[in-house]
Amino acid sequence: MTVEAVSRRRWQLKVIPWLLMAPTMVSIALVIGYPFVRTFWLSLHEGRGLRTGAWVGLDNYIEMVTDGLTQAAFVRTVALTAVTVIGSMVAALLIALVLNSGLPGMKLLTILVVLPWAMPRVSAAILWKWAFDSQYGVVNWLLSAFGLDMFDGYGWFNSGTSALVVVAVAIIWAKIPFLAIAMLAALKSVPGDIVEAARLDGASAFTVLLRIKLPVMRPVMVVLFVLATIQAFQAFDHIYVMTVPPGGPNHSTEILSLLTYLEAFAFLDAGMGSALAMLTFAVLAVVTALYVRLQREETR
Amino acid sequence: MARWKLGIAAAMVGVMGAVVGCSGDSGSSGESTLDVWFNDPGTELQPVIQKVMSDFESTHDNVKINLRFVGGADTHQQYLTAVAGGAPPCVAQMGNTWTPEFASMGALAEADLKLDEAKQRFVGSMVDSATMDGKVYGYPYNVGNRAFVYRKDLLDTSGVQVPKTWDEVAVAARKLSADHGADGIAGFGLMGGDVWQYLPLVWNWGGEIAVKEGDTWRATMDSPQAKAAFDWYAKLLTVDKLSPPDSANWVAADGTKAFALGKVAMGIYASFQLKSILAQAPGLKDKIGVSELPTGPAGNNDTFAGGSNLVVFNDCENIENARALVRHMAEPSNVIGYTQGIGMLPASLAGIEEEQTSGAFADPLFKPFGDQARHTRYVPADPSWGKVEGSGAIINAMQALMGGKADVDSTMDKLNAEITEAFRK
Repeated sequence: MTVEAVSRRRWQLKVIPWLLMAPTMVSIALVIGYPFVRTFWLSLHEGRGLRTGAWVGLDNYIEMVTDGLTQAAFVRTVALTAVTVIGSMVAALLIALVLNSGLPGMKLLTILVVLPWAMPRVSAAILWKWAFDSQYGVVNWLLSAFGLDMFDGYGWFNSGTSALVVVAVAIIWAKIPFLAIAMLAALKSVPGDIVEAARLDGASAFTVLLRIKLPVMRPVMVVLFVLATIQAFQAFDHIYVMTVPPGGPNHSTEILSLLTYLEAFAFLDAGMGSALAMLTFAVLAVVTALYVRLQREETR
Repeated sequence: MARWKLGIAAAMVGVMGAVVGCSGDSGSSGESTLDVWFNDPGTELQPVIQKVMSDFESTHDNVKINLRFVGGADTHQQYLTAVAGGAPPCVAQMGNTWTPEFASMGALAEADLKLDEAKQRFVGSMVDSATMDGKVYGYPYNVGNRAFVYRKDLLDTSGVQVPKTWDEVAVAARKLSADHGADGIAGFGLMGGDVWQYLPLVWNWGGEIAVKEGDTWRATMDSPQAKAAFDWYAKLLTVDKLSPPDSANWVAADGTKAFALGKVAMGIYASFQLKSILAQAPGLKDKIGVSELPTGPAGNNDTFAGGSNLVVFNDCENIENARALVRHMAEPSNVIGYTQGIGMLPASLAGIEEEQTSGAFADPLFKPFGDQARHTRYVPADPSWGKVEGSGAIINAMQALMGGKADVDSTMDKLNAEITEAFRK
């Protein structure tokens, strides 16, 4: 091979990968890069309906972090995320353990568990709202039938806290199928002989779960945890559909995604809406970085 | 800066349209197409609208109508995008609270209707919704308003007369709640999530939502009258407990459902909601009475008029044909088929008269809605009003008061500041 041929080969090795990646990179730049830059640019301007208003620098960000309603919405978003992620992970694990138990009828039960996944979230939210209706809801009827008289005519949507409880229940319900099925798959990968050996050594079912099953499932659990967190942070549809006005009563169920929507599309203030979107982006970027790092550690 | 962009975009689309139009015209009969957007009235009523369009086509050989039914939560966005992109329809049936916004953008063509003539022919509040700086930008099309709906049987057993003032409503409702509360019946159906229940009370108490000063609107929800009106309504829940606590969150659909289930003795309902109540509970027909709304301390019973206007967009290539179509659509005989279907009234006084004498509103249960239509007002015609409504600020304020912990002065001052800010942007 001549010197020229070697240097040409080197050049090809350098250029060809870039050429191959170019279509994807252009697509990413168009569908992610441009909206991101544009959102950031808008966040530095006053919002004026469809038009970009005057340059205001960091004013939107300053207003955002000093505004009491936004602070409350941020805390609420974090709390709702924590409750729904932990709640759905624990519930999904319990269900996955049952589905993996090998008892008769588990195949049918698996199909039933998946069903809520097939339900459009908005329809499900409307049904949950009905179920928790103060006058005609099945939940109040059941609770008072069990002797809890305080729930007779109880208005779940009268206060922010109880309304968020209902929203959390609806979100957890919607999350469980995917998590349970993914955990079931992880459980199936736990080697049966190790479990059997532990049992022979006298380990209890709980010890087996804690010491053998969960460590084997860990990589999957980490991925699920991060995905569930990202998804929970973006929760919007349930609150939009279930509360009156969206985020009410009196701002008490407003979360970041909803505030972003209200600023951008109700107040038509694209500047503030974009600033809020950047805040969500920053938080999720941290979570995603954590995910990438954990994944790298797992694969090492 | 963006305005000239909009202009260029509009001009470009205009030029392109003209080019396309020319190419279509050459060799053919010179047919022009009118794009029409109409709020989707449901599959049963779509043929009614389609017939109005085909009638027009049959008398105008050179016009072809391209009718599109629009609807859903993003309808407003669809219009905004179409205008920004320079490709709006020629003719649209547009909600009356949106008309000032699009007129102020310069998107709408002036209607061939002078203000004086409009005021003689149509419900005043609907003309207000289509008027900007003395010019009319739309033909009022249909109107829907609320009236006072009550259960005759329950009022009779409690020995209560139909209230004529809001004070009498409170007294009657307390008696009705006391007598029928054991059956789960609320004396008065409160709806904290529906601004049209309590915002008009500001007028009844002698206040204004906002006043026009020069070219701009100034919010006046911090006036003593507005504060008294909101306080009165909230206390019906916090002090008198005339409705279930949950009614702080009730929207119109919840209030309608509660009345249909026989759980409300009196309430404020629109004609189309009464229609829905009767469809859900036909057995209530003989037990229901309807009257005009009670009056407030200021002596008026004005309420809000909802409805729509027929508008022509400036970007339309064939404005004359579009105007002719609007005149045709606004003929009472062409409106009534639609309004009867949705349980509303035509916005023309002649149409209301016709409906009240021989049409669907001749029924004593519906006639008062036509009388009340003449006592309606329009929300501040500020292009930003949509923002005020969409943000939920008014509902949040009422819910704060209904929560029983907020102070009236600070709540209303805060609401006023929010509306003022929305007007300013």
